[in-house]
Amino acid sequence: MATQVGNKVQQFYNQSPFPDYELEKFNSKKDLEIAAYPFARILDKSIPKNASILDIGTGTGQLSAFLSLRRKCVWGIDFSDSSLNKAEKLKEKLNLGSWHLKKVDILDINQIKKIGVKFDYILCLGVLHHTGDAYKGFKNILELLKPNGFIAIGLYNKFGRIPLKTRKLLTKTIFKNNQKVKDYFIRLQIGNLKDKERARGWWNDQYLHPHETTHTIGEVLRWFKKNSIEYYETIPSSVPYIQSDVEICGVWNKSKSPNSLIRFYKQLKWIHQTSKEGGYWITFGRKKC
Amino acid sequence: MANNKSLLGEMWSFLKVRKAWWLLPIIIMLLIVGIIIIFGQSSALSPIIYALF
Repeated sequence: MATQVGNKVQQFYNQSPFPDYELEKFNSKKDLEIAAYPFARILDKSIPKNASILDIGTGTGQLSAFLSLRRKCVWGIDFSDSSLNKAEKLKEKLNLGSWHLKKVDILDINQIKKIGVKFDYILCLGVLHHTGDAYKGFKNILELLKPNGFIAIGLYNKFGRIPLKTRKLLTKTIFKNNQKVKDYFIRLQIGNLKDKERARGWWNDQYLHPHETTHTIGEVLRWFKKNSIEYYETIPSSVPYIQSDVEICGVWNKSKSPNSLIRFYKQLKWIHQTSKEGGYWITFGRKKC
Repeated sequence: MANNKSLLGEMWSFLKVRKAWWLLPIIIMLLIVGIIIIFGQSSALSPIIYALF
């Protein structure tokens, strides 16, 4: 990423690997399984065991390492050396032979093409909004998706991010020197602060990140349409009625694309509903033949 | 229900007579915030999706 934003972001992640963890925490594959949050398990359950997976912006690699436990081909790519170094150490420690790591800048199409493999599933969770050109990043990664392959895009929502932006402002002004309030805000997102490296990683990612953009459902639907990606669903749900239980149904369930009125209503709801998650949402789709 | 109607009616008359149209966006915003608070509760069916580990 030759852009100014890209350089800043790369430098940031080299100094603060994300999501980060204390390596001593993972002594066996079982430890990795135990540490997985419910949504990581839901993803694992929703993706067939024989599918190949690419985790874009894998960072320190917990998710892709976890998904590789029961699969033959899982790749994790990132452009931060220190995050990848940590992931490599984990790979070596747990002897994860089916987990491949590579340094790639997704805004550079030549680096993307050099990978030379296409995947059944692409996960790009919480990455594009930090690239400086989210749409270009999206377009580039589609090169790596097989026809009929599935994709998940996680982004910050323009509406849903409002509470976190407010919290961010509070921590820079009124609560600048109040560590208790800062701890409370980060606990909202990760539950506990026992793993100090993880808590620090999250604080940096959410409150000190040098670049982030916010997006709307409509914007992502337009990206999908322009690039022949069939819309499946969003999490949190964008259907006007009660959503299905993702723990039972998994993800990538086909649903009707929401119209502008429903999108507006849902995103207003997300100001409250996704407040703890910093306005984060995931859109699921599938590449048409 | 009749009371509710008269309340809304009175508010409308108040806005009309006093020409206090500047209050309208505030009332609309309060209604939207109210709707969000009532209907926007986090569903127990939604797991945490950002933190995966």
